[in-house]
Amino acid sequence: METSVRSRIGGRRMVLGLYTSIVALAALFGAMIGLVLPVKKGVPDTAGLGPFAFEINPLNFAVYGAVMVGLSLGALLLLMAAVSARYPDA
Amino acid sequence: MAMEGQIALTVLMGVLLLGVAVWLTRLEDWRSYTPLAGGGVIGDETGHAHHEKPSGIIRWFTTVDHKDIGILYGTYAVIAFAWGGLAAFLMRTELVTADITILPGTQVYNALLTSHGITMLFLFGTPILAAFANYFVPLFIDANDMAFPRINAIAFWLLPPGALLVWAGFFLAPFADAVTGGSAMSWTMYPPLSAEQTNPANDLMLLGLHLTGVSATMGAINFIATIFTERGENVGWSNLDIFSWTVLTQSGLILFAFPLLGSAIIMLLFDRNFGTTFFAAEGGGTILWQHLFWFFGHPEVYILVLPPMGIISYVLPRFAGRKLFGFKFVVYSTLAIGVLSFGVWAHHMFTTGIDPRLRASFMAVSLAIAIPSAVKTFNWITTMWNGKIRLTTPMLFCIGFVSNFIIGGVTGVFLAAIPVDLVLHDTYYVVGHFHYIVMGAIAFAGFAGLYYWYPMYAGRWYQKTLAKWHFWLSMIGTNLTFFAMILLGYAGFTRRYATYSGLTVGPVEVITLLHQTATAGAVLLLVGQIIWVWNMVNSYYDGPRVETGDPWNLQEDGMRGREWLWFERRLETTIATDGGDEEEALTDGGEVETDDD
Repeated sequence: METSVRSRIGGRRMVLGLYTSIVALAALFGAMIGLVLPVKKGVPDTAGLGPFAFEINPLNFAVYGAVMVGLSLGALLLLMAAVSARYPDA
Repeated sequence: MAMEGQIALTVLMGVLLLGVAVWLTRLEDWRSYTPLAGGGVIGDETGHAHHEKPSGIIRWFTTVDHKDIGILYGTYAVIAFAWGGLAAFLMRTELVTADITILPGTQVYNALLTSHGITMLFLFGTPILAAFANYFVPLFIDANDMAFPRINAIAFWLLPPGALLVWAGFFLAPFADAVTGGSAMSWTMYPPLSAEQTNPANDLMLLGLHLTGVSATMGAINFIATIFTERGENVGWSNLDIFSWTVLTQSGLILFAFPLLGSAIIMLLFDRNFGTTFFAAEGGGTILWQHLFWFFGHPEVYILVLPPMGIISYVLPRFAGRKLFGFKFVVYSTLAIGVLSFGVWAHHMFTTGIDPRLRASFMAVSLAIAIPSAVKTFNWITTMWNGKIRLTTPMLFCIGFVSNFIIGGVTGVFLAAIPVDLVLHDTYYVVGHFHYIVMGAIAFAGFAGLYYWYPMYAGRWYQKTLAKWHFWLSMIGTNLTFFAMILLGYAGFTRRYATYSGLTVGPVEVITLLHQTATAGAVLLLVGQIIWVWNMVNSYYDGPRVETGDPWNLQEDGMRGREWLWFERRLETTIATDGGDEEEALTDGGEVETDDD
């Protein structure tokens, strides 16, 4: 019976855990895209965002995925933490 | 001689029908347990007074009780889910190899593809939400029943013939030469393909689809009327629960979207059978269909996703031990999605050569609709952030929903951008993206709801370990299958293909490997769902009985909803009267009359 699930996990721990696993997953997905993209015909050797250009390979794409997702979700996470501290009872 | 034979046959059929009619009238005194739709009276009985429901199968054929109809919708949806799921599994099995090896031919693949799409959206997606809404909205708003109980029953009973017509091609093909198999025009039914295929199964499917549309529209009118007029004294707009809000918005969308689909379907049927040229190149043009279809089709996406969002917004806070963060904003975002959903349809048509200025405006609205969805996600995460979480099965599915919804949503934002869409349109990337939403999010929310309320509608507990297995197999299976599809899309692989040995976008080995990965995920999904069905059915008969009105211990956080208070009253009355389940009428707020006449 699920009523017996009385142990609780702190919400912050849970959300931070989710954040970490999503960033790790983004790195994995990035690596997989780095593997798949070069086999497609007519794909350039390098990819990039703004001034950052790099070769398309699994390692570069893993780093790109982790940094990109880590920064964008991290910014949202900080915003969320700030809003939640400001309005705890909303 | 032949004439006499026909007359004899007609008379015989007449006698048979008369016999059935007489049998039906003797079978039950219908009016003794069917409340009048308008709450009127027959003789000196009130319309709300239930005597007793008939037993056995007759109960289910004649019921107008919203909870029974909810169960009927749910059962129907699960059967459709099995059909659609098996069709998908057959397709995935076929795609393990580059050539046709398992299915009899590519047309069978096309038919399975069509059936999978139509079934999952119209015969599973919409009905499973109607199941939740029927069972719980009247309980949440403290109503006796739906506003129009009989229309409610009619709306449900239009669905089974609808399903039979949609699937008719598969059943009829062995018996009729004209029917060459299941309808194979894809769920989008684009002309000229759909107008020119001669298979009569297409006409039957269109008629079936029309029935399901009528059903959904009737249901939507009923929900709107119920939420507006049947709310209890203590339920105002300010304390209306989040699930009812989403159902109300969804019903509004259905009201505007489905009749348009119905009209377009009739036009297509006329093009197919009566020589009209609504969608012919020399008439209205094929793009007209796309406009009409997607004007329905994109709101349909939100018709399918809003109530699941409502379930998540309702269930997630229960196990986070605090109220939903920013309730008002979740309601506002629901309404905003409802309005904006009618302004994004042409993003499905970026590659058709429509006016670039139109394209840009649809891109802007498509990007804008991501904002209210993000607001909801923000609120769910903030609810967890300040909460103390209990990892029950419904909560696991809620968290799974949120993470899959983020992946499905973000991949969708990319597609909303015209330049990205021009590259990825009609590739597996699109398939991966929307399956993250329909399987990873919508179905997950359905599972969260089914587990959360299981103690209520089954009166028993499910098996916890099996439920956890179901979650993890579904979570891993979903990500394995649909992320492999995203990668297939990046590799340039086009959707809807049954074979790929002669492809030119890249090495066949890589494509094959990705397809095999997706199929491995599908196997995990299949095993997970078999476990789920077993758990649901087996526990319904053998699970430990629920003996408290607060089976989830929500009271300690002050998070117990109205439906559990109702459930407690039901348990108390059941014990007090020592009656069986049939005493439910009392708990509706009606009276149980022990009429001995």
